[in-house]
Amino acid sequence: MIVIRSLLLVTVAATLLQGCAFFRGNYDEDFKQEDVESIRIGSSTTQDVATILGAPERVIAVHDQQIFHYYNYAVKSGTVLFFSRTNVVGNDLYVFFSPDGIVQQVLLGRQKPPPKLQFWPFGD
Amino acid sequence: MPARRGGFFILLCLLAILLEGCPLAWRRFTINEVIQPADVSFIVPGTTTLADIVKNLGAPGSIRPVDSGTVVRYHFLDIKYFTVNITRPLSLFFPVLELVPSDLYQLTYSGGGLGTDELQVEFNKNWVVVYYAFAHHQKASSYLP
Repeated sequence: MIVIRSLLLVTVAATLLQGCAFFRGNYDEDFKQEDVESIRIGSSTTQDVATILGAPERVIAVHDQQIFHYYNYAVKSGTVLFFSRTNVVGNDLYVFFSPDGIVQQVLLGRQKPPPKLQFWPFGD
Repeated sequence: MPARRGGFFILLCLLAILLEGCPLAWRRFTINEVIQPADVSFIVPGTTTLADIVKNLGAPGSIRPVDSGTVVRYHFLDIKYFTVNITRPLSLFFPVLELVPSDLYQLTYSGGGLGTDELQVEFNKNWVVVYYAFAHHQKASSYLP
């Protein structure tokens, strides 16, 4: 009886769990605090920033200023039976340059917490 | 009692088999967390700077120049989607349907919505706040069509 019940339980579990999936991924790496801190306001150049952080994802021209925009994304997704939820959180870093190509401002601020791994699609 | 429990397991198995291949699905996709009005109560137009905002809210999702200054945006997105294939279990009762291309008889009902929320802040050329506002479309996100 115990064997039959165990087999039944395994069968039910295997049937119910088919199609379940969890995954996590990211686009680009998190910003390293030491990299950001090594950028010197008033002395680092566009080349220095590109050497430290790499080529920016976007270059924005705002009036007479140039801005390097870096971003990364983290994704977590869960699917159980017919419920699925995917959460994405992005973080951005902006480096502002003066017209002569010297860093004026670095905007990173508070980093958003990583996304939650969830499968229940209701509620908040 | 054990017979009732066995029946429950069998019922559960049957249900799982009927639902196999997800003929029924609730899916949700969210990008970033919502910024609440209380989170931006510190912003005072004419006084608050971009650095103050970034310190409290983090870096914005986008920066765009306008004639009078710059507009920055913090984005949030919530997509809800529901689908049910109401004819899928038919082939379990009428196996002959396996021979018919599923496109000919299957009926899928689905619906959903995409809700965006956005905090928009405009700065003058000295990076001081001119105005800030929310664009609320969160209620557009629902599982119903």
